[in-house]
Amino acid sequence: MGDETDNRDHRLERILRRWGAAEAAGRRADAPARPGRRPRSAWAAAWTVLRTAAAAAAVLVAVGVFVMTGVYIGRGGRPARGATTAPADARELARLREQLAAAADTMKKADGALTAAREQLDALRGQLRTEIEQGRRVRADLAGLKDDLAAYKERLEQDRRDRAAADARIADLRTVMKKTSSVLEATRKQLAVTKAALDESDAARKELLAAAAAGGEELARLKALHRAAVDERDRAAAELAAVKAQQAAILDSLQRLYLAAAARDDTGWAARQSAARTAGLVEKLPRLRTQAGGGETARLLERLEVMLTRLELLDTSDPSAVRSFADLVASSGLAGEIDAALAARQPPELRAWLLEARLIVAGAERVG
Amino acid sequence: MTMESGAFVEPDQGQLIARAAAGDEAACAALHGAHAGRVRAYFLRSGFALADADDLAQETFLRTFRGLGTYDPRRGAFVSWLGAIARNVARRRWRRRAQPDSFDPDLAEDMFPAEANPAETPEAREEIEAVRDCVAALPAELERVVRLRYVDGRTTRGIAEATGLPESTVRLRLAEAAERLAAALRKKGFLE
Repeated sequence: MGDETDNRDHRLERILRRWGAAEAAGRRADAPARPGRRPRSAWAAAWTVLRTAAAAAAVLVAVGVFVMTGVYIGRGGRPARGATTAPADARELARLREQLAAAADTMKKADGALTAAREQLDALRGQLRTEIEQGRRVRADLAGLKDDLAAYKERLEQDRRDRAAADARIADLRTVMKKTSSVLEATRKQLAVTKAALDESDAARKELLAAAAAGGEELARLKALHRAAVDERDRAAAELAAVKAQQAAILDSLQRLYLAAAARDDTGWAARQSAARTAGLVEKLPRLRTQAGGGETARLLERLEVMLTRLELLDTSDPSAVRSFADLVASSGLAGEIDAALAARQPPELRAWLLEARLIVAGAERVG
Repeated sequence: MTMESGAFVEPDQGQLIARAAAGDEAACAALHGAHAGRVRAYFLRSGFALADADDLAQETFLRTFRGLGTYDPRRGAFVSWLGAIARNVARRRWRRRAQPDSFDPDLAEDMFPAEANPAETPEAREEIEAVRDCVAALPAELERVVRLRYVDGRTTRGIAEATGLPESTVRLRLAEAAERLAAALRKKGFLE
């Protein structure tokens, strides 16, 4: 992928450089001539110089030939004054011919040397051209190396900046790592403490579990005890109810016997009225009050005196009066208070009196 | 490609050179017209001022016409020979370059390609026409940096000096122009 991109870039660079060279060549060729100069001044000037140089060379050659000929004629070719003999002329002519032949040979040799020199010069020019070409390539390489060096310098600078940024980043990371390490160390210590606490709490939990297990057993035992107690209470309640029922039955029996003995011919409240009169309950009260002392029993005796007095005065032939009296007795709670007084420790005479009063009020709710 | 100046429309160079070497003034004029642009462009791309480039081009052609008799086509293209003369002329006045660091010597050397002129083939001319159209279609600021780079032969620094832009901006614009030109030339089928 990178090679493809490089190739494409190089191809684009080549295309652009070719276009740029064409544009440059066209533009520079189209460029207007500088002020004060004739158009096509370069080639025209060059051509003029060349023509002038060629003409000058031709003139120089002609002058040289002319001078050499003049010297030659002046030195040997011109006839001597007064010497006009033919043999002498012939000898002189032969000598001149020999000199001319020698000069021709010399010129020929010089021409050969000139040709050789020209060939050598061409060879040297070729060599120089090659060296120039090599120099151009070296210069191009140097330019490329210069660009590469600049690019490397830039890259090096970029690397240095990247390295500095990376170093700063590393330093930051080290600081963070240091902080993290301290936090980790603190966390590790805290974990150790927490583990110890957990171990401790685990032991406590185990103890609690054992205690809970023991508590469970105790609870089960207590539940069993509670259940037994409840059963016992129920049984006692049942027994109490039975005792009460038995007591009520005994009380009824005693009342029937008591009333039958005291008032044989009466029933209901009339029989109770007769029995109370016969037993003289109201008359016994002043003596008994001294035995009762103060407290609950004395107040009970006062209330019983009121009740017995009203019973004494009751018109038993008046059903409404009897019913009203029965309601009063039933709602007074005297039966319960007498039972409570009898359950306490009482003098025998008082106990007997309370028992008779109890028999009088017994069944008041049923007797209207 | 058909340049008005005829810079890249080269007639039979061999005959033209032979006629010029024999003293034909018209042939010399044709030879000069065919290559004057590239010679001037070479000196300008080498960093010489315009006046110096004209003088150096004149000196180059003077030497060329004077030495035409020694030119041997078997040893290389005429353009290469002309380039060698131009380099010699330039070297003597190398220190007189006005902006030596503003021009890329590689691009200067492009004016005298070692091989036969690659712009002479019909395919090459068509390609150059396509590049010309694509460059003309670029936004003005991108076209300018492309022309300064590839026509004037300037370096990034030289373009920055000519435009007053930072070198980094010049590089970015050249890269953007290259991307656009690559896409356009790819669309025209001149680039894969």
